[in-house]
Order: sequence, then C-alpha cells, then structure tokens
Amino acid sequence: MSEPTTGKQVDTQLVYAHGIAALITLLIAITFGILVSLQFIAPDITGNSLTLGWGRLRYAHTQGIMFGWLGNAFFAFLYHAVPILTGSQVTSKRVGRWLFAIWNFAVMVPGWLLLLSGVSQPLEWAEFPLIIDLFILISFGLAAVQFLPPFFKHSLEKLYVSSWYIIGSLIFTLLAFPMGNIAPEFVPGAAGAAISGLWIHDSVGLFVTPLALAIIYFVIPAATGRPIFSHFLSMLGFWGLFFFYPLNGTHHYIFSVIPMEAQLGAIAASALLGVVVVIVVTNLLLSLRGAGIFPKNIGLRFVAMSVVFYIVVSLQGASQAQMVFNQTVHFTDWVIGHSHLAMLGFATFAGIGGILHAWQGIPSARYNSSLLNWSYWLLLGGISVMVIDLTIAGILQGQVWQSDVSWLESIRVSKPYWLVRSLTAIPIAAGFLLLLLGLVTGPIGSRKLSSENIIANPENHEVKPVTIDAGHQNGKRGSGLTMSYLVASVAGIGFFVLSVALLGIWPAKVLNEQTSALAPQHPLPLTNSEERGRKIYAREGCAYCHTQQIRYLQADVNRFGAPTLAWESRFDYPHLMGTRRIGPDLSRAGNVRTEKLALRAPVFSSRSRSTVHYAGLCRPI
Amino acid sequence: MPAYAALFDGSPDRPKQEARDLVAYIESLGRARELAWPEGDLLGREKAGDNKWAMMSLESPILNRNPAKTQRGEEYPLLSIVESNQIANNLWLDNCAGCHGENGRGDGPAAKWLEPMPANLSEREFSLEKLSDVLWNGVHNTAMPAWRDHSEENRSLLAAVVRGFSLPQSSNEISEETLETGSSIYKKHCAECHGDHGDGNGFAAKQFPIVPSNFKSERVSMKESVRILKNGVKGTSMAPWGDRLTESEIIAVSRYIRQFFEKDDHAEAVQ
Repeated sequence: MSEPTTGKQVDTQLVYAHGIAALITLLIAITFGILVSLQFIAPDITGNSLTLGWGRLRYAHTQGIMFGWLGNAFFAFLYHAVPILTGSQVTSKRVGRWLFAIWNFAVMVPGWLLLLSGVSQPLEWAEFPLIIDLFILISFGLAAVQFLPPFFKHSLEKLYVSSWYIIGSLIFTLLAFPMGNIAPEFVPGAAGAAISGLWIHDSVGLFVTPLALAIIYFVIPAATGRPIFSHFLSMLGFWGLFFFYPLNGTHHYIFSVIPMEAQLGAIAASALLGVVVVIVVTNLLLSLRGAGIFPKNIGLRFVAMSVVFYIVVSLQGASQAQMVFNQTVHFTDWVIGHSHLAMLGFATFAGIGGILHAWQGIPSARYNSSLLNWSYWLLLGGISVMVIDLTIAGILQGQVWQSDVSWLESIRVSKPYWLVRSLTAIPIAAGFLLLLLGLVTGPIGSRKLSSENIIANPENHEVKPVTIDAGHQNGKRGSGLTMSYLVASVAGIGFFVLSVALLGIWPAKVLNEQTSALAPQHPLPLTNSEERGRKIYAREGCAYCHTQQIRYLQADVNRFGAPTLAWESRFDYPHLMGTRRIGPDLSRAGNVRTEKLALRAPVFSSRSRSTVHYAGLCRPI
Repeated sequence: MPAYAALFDGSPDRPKQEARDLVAYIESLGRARELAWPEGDLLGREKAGDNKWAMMSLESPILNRNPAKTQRGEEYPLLSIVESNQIANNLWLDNCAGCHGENGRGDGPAAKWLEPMPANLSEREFSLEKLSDVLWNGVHNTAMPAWRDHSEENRSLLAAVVRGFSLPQSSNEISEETLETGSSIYKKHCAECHGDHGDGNGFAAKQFPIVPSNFKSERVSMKESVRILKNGVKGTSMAPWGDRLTESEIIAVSRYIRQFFEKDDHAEAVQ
C-alpha cells in the first residue's frame, strides 16, 4: 500500500473554495426555501411578483440545495479525500479551477437567474433548464476527469469502500443525469413520468447517497483512528445499494397509470433497499462504538447523526413505498418531511461532517468549535421538529383526502403545521449561519483535529490514511486486476441499464400499446393559446401543487372521477403528472366552471388577502 | 392558492394574454376524454381486454366527480328545514359571502367580476326544492358552483341562511285588469323561454346556456323584477325590455309572474 500521505497532496485551496461556496449557496438556497414556506401561511408575502412566485422559488430551492450546497460540499470533500485514499494528487489544479468556475458561475448563478425568470423544466429535481443541464454535464465530466484517474492507478482490490462510492457516484451520475433531465423532454405523459421517477430516485441514490456514504465511511475511521467494523459488510452494502437504488424509481408514482408490474417491482426493491441500509448502518454504528452518537469531534458528530438520519429515512422510505401506507401519505406533506429528512438530515449532516473534517486539514483555515457546536444543536433541533411536524401534517392531510369532506378542510387542518414548519426556519437558518461563521472565525490551524479525537489514543496525531487489509486475497494481480475492473463495470452499468429497461423502457412500451388501443382516433391537440398556457402552468410550478393524475384508488375516484388513462397525457412534453397535492388534482378541471371570470378570479386573487370573505372565490375545483 | 395578479391588468376582468392562455389551458384539462365520453369509454372496454386497472377507469360510472362541477337538470336530494345558527353563519362567510355578500345582497367583493352577477338573495324567496337543487347542482354555466362535498347538514344550514336573507315581499294580490295585461304580455314575450307555466321550460329554453328562471320555485320581489325587466341580466340571455315595454306593462307582468310561485309547505312554515 502506498505510504501514508501527510495531506500535502491535498489541494487545500480548492477544498476551501468549494467549502465556502457550499455554505454561501446553502444560505441562498434556504432563503428561497424559507420564502416558499412562508407563502403557505402568508401567500402575499412576495406581493405580485412572478419572479418571486411560489413555483419559481421552489425550483430555485431544490436545485440550489442539490447542486449548489451538496455539489460544492461533495467537491470540497473529494479534494480532501481522493489524495488521501489514493496517495495521488487529483488530476490538475487547472481542471479544478474550471470546475469551480463552471459549477458556480455557469451553473448556479445563471441557473437561479433563469429559474426565477421563468426558464425552467417542471421536472422534480431537474428544474434547471436544458442550457444549464449542459453545463452540469460538462462539470460532471470534469469531475470525473479530476477525481477518477487517481483511483485507477491502484488495484481495485485495494480500494476502500469510500473509493468505491466515489467512483460509482461520479460514473453513474454521468449516466443518470441526462436520462433524468433530457429524456423526459422527448417522452411524453406517463412514460416520461416513469423516467422522471427514475431520476428522482437516482439523483438521491446514485449522486447524493454514495458521496454522503463516502464521507461517512471516511470520516469515521479517520476521526476515530480505527478501521471500520467490517469491510465485507461495507462492500455488501455498496453493491446492494447500487443494485437496488435504481430499481426504486417507480415508487414515486404508485397507483398511477404506469404499469402495475413496474410499480410492484419498485415497491419490492424499496423494501429490499431498506434491508441493505440496515446492513450499512449496522456496520457504521458498530464502527462508531466507543465514540457514541455524540462524539466530541464535531465533524464526527455530524457524521454520526447523519447515520442515524440515514437509517430512519431509509426505513421510512421503505415503508411509505408499500401500498398500504402510500395510498394515504402520497402527495402529502409526509413526502416533504421525508425529502428533508434525507437531504437536510442525512445528506447535509454528512456534507457538513465532510467539510468540517477536511477543514481540519487546512493549515490556514479558521475553525470555531464553539460556534460549530451551537450550529450542530440548532440544526438537529430544527430539523427534528420540522420533520416530525410535516409527518404529522401529512397523515392528517391524507386522512382528510380519504374522507368525503371538502378539500379545503385539508388546507385548514394543515395551517398550524405550516406555521410550525416556518418557525423551524429560525433554528435551521441560525444553525447554517453559525456554520459558515464557524468556518471563517476562530483560531487558525489544523491541530484542532488531534485535540478532538475522542478515542483514547493520544499518540495518534495525524490523519491516518485509510489502509485496507480487508481480507482480500493478494494473489492474481495483472489479469485479476483487469478482470475485476471489467466485472465491476459490467455489473454496475448492467444494474443501471436494467433499471432503465425495467422501469423506463418497458413501461413506455406498455403505455404506448395502451394508448394505441384506447385513445380516440382523431386526436385533439391543444390550441396555440392553450399550449402557451401549458408553458405558463409549467414555469410557475403549478404542477408542484396540483397533480394531473387521478390514481387508481377509490378515494381518488370518489373525489375526482375516472382515473387518468395514459392517452390523456400523451401530448404532454414533458409530463405534468405531479408528485404533490396541496390543491386538488386538475385532470378533469376543465368544464367545471364557466371560464368567464369565475376561473380567472382565483388566479387573480389570493386566498389570504381575503379573510374568509374571498374563500368562496378560491373554491377548489 | 397564491395570487397571480401580475398576469392581469388590475382586476380579474382585465386579463393579459398570459392569464387568458393559462385559463384556456386549465379549461382544456380532461376535455378530450369528456368529449369522447361515453362512447369512447365503451369502445375502450372492448379493447382493454383483461387489463383490470384500465377497466377500473373505463367502468367508472361518472367521469368527472368534481363536487363543484355544475350539472343541468340532474336529480338532487331534498334538504331539511333547520334553524340558522352560528355554524350556519360561519359556513356562509367561509363559502358564500365572497360572491353573494355578507347579507346575501349579491354585493360580495368578487361580485363585480362575475357575469352573471351573483343573485341578490334578499330580493328573492326560494322554495326548498330550488335551494336543494342549486346547492347540489350549482347553476350551470354561471360562476355558482355545486357544493356536493358539503354534508346534507351543511347544505341545509346554508339554505336556512339564504331563507333568512329574504326581505318581506308585497302580497300576490292582483286586479283582474293587471292579470289580463300581464298574462297577455307574458304569453307574447316571455313564455317561449320561461314556459307557459313559468317553470323555465319554454321551447326556446334548451338552447340557452343558462336555464331561464323558474318562477314556480323562485319569487322575485317587485323591485327586483322591475329592475330586471328594464335592464336585463348581463351575462345571460335575459334581454332588457325597458325600451319595448311601458312602465305599466312591466309592472303588470311582474305582478303576473308572482302567481306562478308555488308555496312550499316548508316555505310557509318558515314564514
């Protein structure tokens, strides 16, 4: 194994740059999110501005979190970890500068400006418009060029699990990203939704989760000074995740018109994914033994809590994919609680842990333990309350929708929960502010690292390289090396292709057949005005409050009517099926009221400006 | 539901092109299936084969179950006579006052944007049948939606509130002469829409998007009646008659149509 690096090969400048960029984009992204949450309780808070309309802000929030915050945070960590894992430098500083510049100034800044100007795609987790997608793809390409070659200098057998996750993530995101962001523009309706569903999960499962796990698997041994509990379990977990994650995609559209076989496959894969995560988390928790869940080392503390969040959110996910629960909680705030538990809990805590750990390796960086400590508790408190609050709200909403009570009841019932949710913005925003301050104020110097090691190992003052002696046989280099790369690549790519085939291509074929059989002979496309209206609907985020899929469930049938058939959305490029209901489904919204003014009135006036007097105007459906 | 006032030029009756487009799009949702229904679904059932999920959709007896969707000429459940109370008043404020006004005078904040305007309920008396019908079916092709997602109890309470708004009206007494004048004008000009017996079922009525008033179930005050005859009802097919009928003719026919009103036993009981 290569000699332990002393961290000199780490490009601390790029770690620092991406770390700061991560925190700044985070603060911007959560500002968008806070405004969005306030609009639930005070819809007029941004006045008449379309630029600060709910939909556009929502798009800016999710893309800001995924690409701005997590993207930068992961890059910061990669600059720290890759040289240490491989003993080699990353490819080039120049590539690094380009990557930083493009990511932040050709993706994030113009991306936000475009979203707020109404240039966007109404696709969950893929809202940036195509031009920005192009720059994201270029950036992922650059990242692959920057971070992958160091791994390939060494044999696969010697790769630590974090390395596997890094390689897997960088390669698979390159495959999944175009699928999720570009393909739905060319595949309409429910078939496009199936592909969207794949991206919604792959973005979390093949981009965010592997890099978060890479951080966790790295920080735990590095901070505790001990190897992880079991390399075998870690590899079992790795392959399990890369196999099952992509097969989960269709669980975002349960009870929709997407073929039931695909849905059931995804549901089964979701349950099995839960099992795999139990294995992974067991390994991680055992690796933390001695350090406990609240270690003194703050970076490790964030990472430890991230592990807790991970098991909770994964078991939650595995459960909510089951039809029994899904029929009630689908489209509700439960889902928002889930996504925040995953992104704000699991991924963000891991990302913070990675940055804090990497910070300690930057000789010139400041590090304010006290502020960071506060940050941890504020964030933990804030997100816990937020998630519990939204989960309860979701259950209540689901129950109202299953009864025959008016839709408005679900709004009334939710209001106190939306208020509490907005209040959690206070500790959360404070926590993130303190995080940024904690990284730019306080004493300078990386000696912080050793003084915060919590395992009684006082002679262990340097960052230990993560060496692997994990029971792999040492024989058969050469052909074994090539062989193992080949097997790994074929398997990995094979899993991805399998998921796209099973949950994307096959359902599309079946849906096409159904459409051919059932659709009216002479299609009635939209007029030019209606087509323009559709684009307005898409850009203002209407599809994020209203679905256009009546589910194959009695509760939906009772409220809305006959479930939507595939052909009814066959001209929707891209689809507007929706994954969330704050307002009711709109599949059959036409023809309910006279157009003359009655429908315009709710579009014009807000329900909150009304006290109760306007409630009649905004009568749902 | 947030506001999108930026798509308008100051009020809902001054939409910019974007507002027109957006509303046009929303109005198109579900249209294709609705137009193809029911034959399309019937045909589909043959072709769907053994796909039980598609059949669940194709065999739905009602295509569009929006509880607000207006219906014309459909059956409705009869409401009960109840006393108005605080709950009823809150229901009114929450759901109706925005258009009909706090006191049912058709002067709610939204009223000026609607065509036809919300009815002035204080100048009208309704039979229980009429209230039951309107609350269950809405008024087709007007902004008055249906309220089927409200319980029978709630709808009965709202009916009680509406009854409470009615101002006392003049008696139905009518002299022979007025009766004759009124009757002949009615037969000549009104019956073709409002029906020979004032039930809104004239032979021309079917063509109109909005059903003509049924005087058997709705008694309009003299003041309101005269106003309508002079000015028509904007947004409906009721034209102004102020330039075709004299003042006394208008009064005569207004008195005449009051004869059609069939007093509910229930309406009487409340009075």
